[in-house]
Amino acid sequence: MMGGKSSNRQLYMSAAVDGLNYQQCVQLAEMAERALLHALIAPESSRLEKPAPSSPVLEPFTLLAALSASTSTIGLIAEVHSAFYEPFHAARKLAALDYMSSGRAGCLTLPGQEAAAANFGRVSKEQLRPHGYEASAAVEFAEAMQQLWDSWDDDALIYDKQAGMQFDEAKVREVNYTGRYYSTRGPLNIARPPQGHPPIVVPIRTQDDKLAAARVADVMIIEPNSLEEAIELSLELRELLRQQGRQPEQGRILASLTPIAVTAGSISEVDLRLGTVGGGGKTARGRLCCAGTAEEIADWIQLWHHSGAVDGFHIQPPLQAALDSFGYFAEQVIPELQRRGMFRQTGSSSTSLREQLGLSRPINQFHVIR
Amino acid sequence: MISAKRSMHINLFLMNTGHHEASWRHPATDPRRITDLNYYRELGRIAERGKLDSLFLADTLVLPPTVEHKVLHGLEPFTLLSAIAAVTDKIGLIGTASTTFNDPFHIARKFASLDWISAGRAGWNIVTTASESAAYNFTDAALPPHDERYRKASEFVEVVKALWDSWEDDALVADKESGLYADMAKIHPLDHKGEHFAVRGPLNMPRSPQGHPLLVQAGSSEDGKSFAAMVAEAVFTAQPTFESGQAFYADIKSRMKPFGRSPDELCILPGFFPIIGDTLAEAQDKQRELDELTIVAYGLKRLSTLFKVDLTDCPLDEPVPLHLLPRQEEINGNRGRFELVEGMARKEKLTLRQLIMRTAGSRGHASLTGTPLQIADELERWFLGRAADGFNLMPSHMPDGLSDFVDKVIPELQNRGLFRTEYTGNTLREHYGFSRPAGKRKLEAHT
Repeated sequence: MMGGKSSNRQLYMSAAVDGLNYQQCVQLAEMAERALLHALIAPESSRLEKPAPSSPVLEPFTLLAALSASTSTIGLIAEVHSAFYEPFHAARKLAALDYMSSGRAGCLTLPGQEAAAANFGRVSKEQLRPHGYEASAAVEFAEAMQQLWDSWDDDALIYDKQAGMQFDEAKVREVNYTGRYYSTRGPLNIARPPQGHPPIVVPIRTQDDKLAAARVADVMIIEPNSLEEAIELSLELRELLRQQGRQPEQGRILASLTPIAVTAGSISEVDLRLGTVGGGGKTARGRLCCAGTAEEIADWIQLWHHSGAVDGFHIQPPLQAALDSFGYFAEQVIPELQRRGMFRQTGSSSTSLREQLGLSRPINQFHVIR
Repeated sequence: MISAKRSMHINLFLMNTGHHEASWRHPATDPRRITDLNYYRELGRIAERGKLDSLFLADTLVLPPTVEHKVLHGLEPFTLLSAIAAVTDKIGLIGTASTTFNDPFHIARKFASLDWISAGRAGWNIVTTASESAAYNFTDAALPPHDERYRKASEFVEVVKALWDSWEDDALVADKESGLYADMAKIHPLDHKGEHFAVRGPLNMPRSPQGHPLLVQAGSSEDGKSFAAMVAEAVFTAQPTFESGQAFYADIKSRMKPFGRSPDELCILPGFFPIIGDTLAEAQDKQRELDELTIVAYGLKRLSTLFKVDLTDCPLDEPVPLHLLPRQEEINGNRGRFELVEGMARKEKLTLRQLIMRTAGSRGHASLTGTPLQIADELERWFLGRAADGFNLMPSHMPDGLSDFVDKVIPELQNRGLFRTEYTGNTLREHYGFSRPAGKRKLEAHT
């Protein structure tokens, strides 16, 4: 086993929640919470895919805010396409979500695809802003959000009824962020969120993504073809983190995974495309799959986790029958992992997503400067 | 004569600890709850107990300069309304979104999403954003001028409606057998290219339960009134007197005809700020308690922001220095409110201190301090006298001011046959008595 990692390392788990049917999203969220998963990620789409529209998804902020009311411990991570968004809007929505959920908000940033730009065309001169599709634009976006969150000190609000003072003016400031793509003055019109900064999640697809992630990511999601590739990738990512002066454990690495349950007699129904039952590999859709019985999927997860390549997995149920598929994972695979002592058996005492992921609460950057 | 079918609509104007600017200092409120979802769950349930049509969140895109002494708005409308949707069943959910600092695609998508999540309870209060400093949170360019913002708003709304209609109602097939999810022949791009926006579409979501979430507008300037007559289905307005309410009502309704709209396609909902006591003396005590908590320094800042002139060194007990104020046409912010408050000071020859107190609770909206019967009488007078189709309820402090209204005034309105005793519909449009707009194919078949 790589680096002789002990088996008592935490195994982190998130799952995708999407679709148009809100009630099904609630069911999936409740199931994930019962299974003690750490977070849900709501994917975003900025255009309708043609010719075959992928299943439309509810917009992440509206979906996750609604789910914050029907869950109590699981993290709620919204995907944002930074090329078409404003840091002020996103920082504010994430702060609101963080308050309503008692510290469970997170943000997955992607630049967005150029193909969607036609849905966001602005003609008037004063509104023209170049769309940035490279990973560095998403970094800028994340940094602008973090500055806005830090525009308030944690103890700025005092609510002194007697004196009639709501907050201490000296503890709230403009940030005057100016980057290549974004400029925002601040301060934010909501106080610093419970987590300080809701964690930033960056999916790793290109070389640029790796550099971006090393700067701002609290969680990285990788999509490797094999365990060997995962090991190589995580070594590289951890080295990049170090080069940015960050500790490896400040960037959790999750592998995106589609588990396919194979119960006795159902093997012939599963189109595995590659790999054997109980094995894993990429499907034609480019997703890492692992097919097998609950024990076999648990074996596979154990192998990957013990290799030290990943800190956990982001579960993406197959588009069709997401609820059934995820139900199998939550109710069969997770208990198997728990029996092996690989996955937590009780929920965290904290609702903070950062704390659940073992990430520290960031110090306000304007204090560091002082 | 009054049609027997006409019934009053009441929207709850949610505002952190209440509408009185000193409400957060009142012993019965807790300003720390304004970011707590349980607080809004409680308020939503009280409002549903009163069978109110909807609740509404105003919004600002900047930290107000007056925030030192007054509680923040709190949470962000889309996230808060979605969460309230999850903890309520019937009440409509109206959120404010700016046409100046958003993209039509995002707004169309978020309201459609809220409409799906709430099963048809979403509404959009369309604002152009009056705050000059808000611009700098999004760009390094200044706020566009007033008429330009309204031109942009018209185009924005046109694009959003077209995005909502880009899927025909039966475009979503979701046939598991055949694997056909959506019928692409029933999904249409917009290819919109206008003065401000270029949006290809279609929306990446099927047409929502209401077709179009309810469209609401709140600007009372000339530009705002014309815009309301053209697109709005409900109008929030600040009218200090019954007479001004009647005049505004007649004005808006008369502007609708040129747009091919009938007057009953729009509900006019003036703001109403009640302070309720079982006796008049008790109500007056409640008002005094709140007024005495008002901070004069805050009031001066608030009026300085509205009037665009620094009043902080002016003597409090002398008449408002009207000669220092800019002319209304020079205001690029909230022009309607400027006119209202300036007019109040001029006509009633108020001192600065009096103007601060007069606007501390109602901010220039109609108000009444009295018993449930007196308040019901006043609402009935406005409603029957065609100064209102209903009201934008502004409780002085919450939850108490809201539960007073729901438990004491609503039953009186119900006894008089003016207000519903049960919800008869499920969607926000149904609560306001509006039909679901026809989708694309049906529209084309009719024309």
